[in-house]
Amino acid sequence: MEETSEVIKLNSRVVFCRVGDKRILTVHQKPLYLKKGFPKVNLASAVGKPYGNFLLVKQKEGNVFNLEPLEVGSAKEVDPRLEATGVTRDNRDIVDSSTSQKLTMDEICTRTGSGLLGAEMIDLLVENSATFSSKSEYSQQKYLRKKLEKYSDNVTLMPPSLRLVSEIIFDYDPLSVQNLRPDTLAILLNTAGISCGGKYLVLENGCKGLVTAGVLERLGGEGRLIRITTKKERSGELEAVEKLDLSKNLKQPLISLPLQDLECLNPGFEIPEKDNCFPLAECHVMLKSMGCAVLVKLTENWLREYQVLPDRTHPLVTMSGNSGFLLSGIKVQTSNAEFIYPVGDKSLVEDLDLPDFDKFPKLASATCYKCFLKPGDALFIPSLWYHNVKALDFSVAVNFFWCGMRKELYDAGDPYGNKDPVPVARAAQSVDKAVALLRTLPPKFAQFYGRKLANVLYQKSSEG
Amino acid sequence: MHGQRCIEENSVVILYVDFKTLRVLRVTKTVDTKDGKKVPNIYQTIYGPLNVSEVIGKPYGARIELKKGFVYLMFPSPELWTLALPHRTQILYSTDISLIIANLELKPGKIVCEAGTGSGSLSCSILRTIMPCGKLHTFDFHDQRVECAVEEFTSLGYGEFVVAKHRDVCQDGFGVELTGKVDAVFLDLPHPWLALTAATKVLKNCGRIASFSPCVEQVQKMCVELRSNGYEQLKTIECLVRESVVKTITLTTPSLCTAKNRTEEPLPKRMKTDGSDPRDGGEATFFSMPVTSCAGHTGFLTFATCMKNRS
Repeated sequence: MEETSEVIKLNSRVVFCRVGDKRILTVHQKPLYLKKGFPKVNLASAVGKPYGNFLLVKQKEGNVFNLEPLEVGSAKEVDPRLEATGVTRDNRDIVDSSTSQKLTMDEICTRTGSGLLGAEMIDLLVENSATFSSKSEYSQQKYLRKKLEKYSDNVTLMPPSLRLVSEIIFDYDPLSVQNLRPDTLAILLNTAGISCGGKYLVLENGCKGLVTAGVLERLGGEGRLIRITTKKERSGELEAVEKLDLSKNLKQPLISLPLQDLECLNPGFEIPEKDNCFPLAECHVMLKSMGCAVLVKLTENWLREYQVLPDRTHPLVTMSGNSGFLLSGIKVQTSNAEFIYPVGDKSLVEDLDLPDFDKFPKLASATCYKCFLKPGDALFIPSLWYHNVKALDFSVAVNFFWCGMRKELYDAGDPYGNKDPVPVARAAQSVDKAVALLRTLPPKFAQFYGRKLANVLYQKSSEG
Repeated sequence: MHGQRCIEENSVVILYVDFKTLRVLRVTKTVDTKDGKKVPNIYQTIYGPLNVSEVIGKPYGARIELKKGFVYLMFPSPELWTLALPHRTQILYSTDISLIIANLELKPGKIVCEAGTGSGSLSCSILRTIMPCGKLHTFDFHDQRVECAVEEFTSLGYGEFVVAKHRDVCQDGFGVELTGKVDAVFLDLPHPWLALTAATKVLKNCGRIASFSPCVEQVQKMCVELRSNGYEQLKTIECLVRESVVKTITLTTPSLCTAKNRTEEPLPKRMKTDGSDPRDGGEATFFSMPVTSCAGHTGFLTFATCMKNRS
């Protein structure tokens, strides 16, 4: 298992955090232009240094800023939300006007242009603000935070992780990932039980590869992830995987497979996610009626973030109101007989290679074991197992039948034991008689008592 | 763990009786009676007795027919374990667990510290995520809880990936041998700030910490301490899960024109449970609504990043 390198490397991706700004950047030699009115940043200056806090320091020439690690123990700009002076003021004297800042825009720009950032710049703005001193403590902090967003020289560089990547992509535009919230992604990955060495199948549409990225991160380079694609992959379809900056080894479990190449699916877990619950409600009903899964649940999650400050703790004033819906269940063994439309000892399904799923929808839930036999191979098929053999080439098969029960139980004229055993044939006659008797009742009653007797037959015959 | 698909002797199985009844079953051929005799292991369920030795060799997920019904033999995944485990303390449930795993940025190979161990509900999820090359160091100040947890971790197959110790981390820390080696720390303690100095000591640069507290007062104190110990990116959240019930109903549009003709037909004695009149026709649709009663509060989760160049 590889460890993410502890120091920043050239051409790797880093998460760049400043007050009110969080994004993923590639560490290039060339200085980066981040946003309007902000000088260029030379990320390469952080190469070889450990992740953590940095200060933006102006280069000697040109308006480019280098990143210098913050000294151990040195104070960072205090988070403005934390400064509590204890003086209570209110806003009775504040008049709304655009003249409170004495410095003009040009004067401010000249100063940032000459390398003035951080605390000094903020102090200058505060000094020249006519209203700052009369603002209430709360609005002073709000003012400072706004100015910090513009002029802060504190930067934190972090290695990319699924947590940061999913938060950044979601915060930028939730709809670009079908509103797949980071907490929903977290629950999805855990519910699906993703762990190192497992084999998983993902079908995701328009989530920028967030689910794929999440599964890959938790596979740790071992196991298999089959990604089903429904159409031609667009660029950016796997944006999250790229942003996560996974090594070649960690990406190795990923295989993409177009949907049309698949013959038959047999997923172990089925965990679709949707931002509206109706398609999933339908799947929920289907899963339950097929009886192939237990603990089938349709859930959504309600997440609230809190501002926690001394005497000022409350939920954030806006929150996401839609987590999407998760459908989950655990596959269990079912009796295949329910799915293969048996009549007598045969199945109604004619062509197993190209089954008519419209006619036989339940067949999709049947477990199918396939194998190829070579000359000289033998295959043991236990009694009562439905099977289908197809010759791929000219072939001769030699069959041997074991009769597991006492000899007299088998039909004397049937050396293969293919026919119903003697007691079954006799019981079938009794069933015919029973049916004839039931049919003397009105249809509704016949159906009711028929079902009752069928249950008795099933229960009693399976007992000891 | 992925290769293990069949139940062996001494395996742990979660017996699925119905969606509300999940039981931990230890697969042994015999059990000891009070007077020291060995008798065949028969497990009683509402559907009749289960002869435990018969489940050996069956695949996980297998359906076992009993006298009056059937049960499933489930693999003890951390999610099912959480629903079935013997409670020694209050436990964390899957929603909070998922958020803890994601926000601690856990993946294979990570080194994690947990205090306290409690009933081991979270521990199993952590272990599944960090296996096979990561390690979980879990601590509890209650001696007997640690003993039980060790026994359970071993029987679930996590033994070699976990170190469980009886220790009060608030007083004695996580151990000098872990200094600067831990990727993530999880605290579920009544006074989590008392373990913060110890946590900071063992965490790597940019390591993550999570703290679970049911009360907001604990959260406030913890956040103050986190900030003054050089932690950044603080985030406090609360997450509740809401389950929906799904039904098929028939929505109908009563037609006034046919109302007259209809009276000629006798009304069925009992209406369908959803109140619709079958004579109206109409299409069956799926209908879902949240369950009427659910958990209102579990606890607050606080996450932060340890910045070594500030602490």
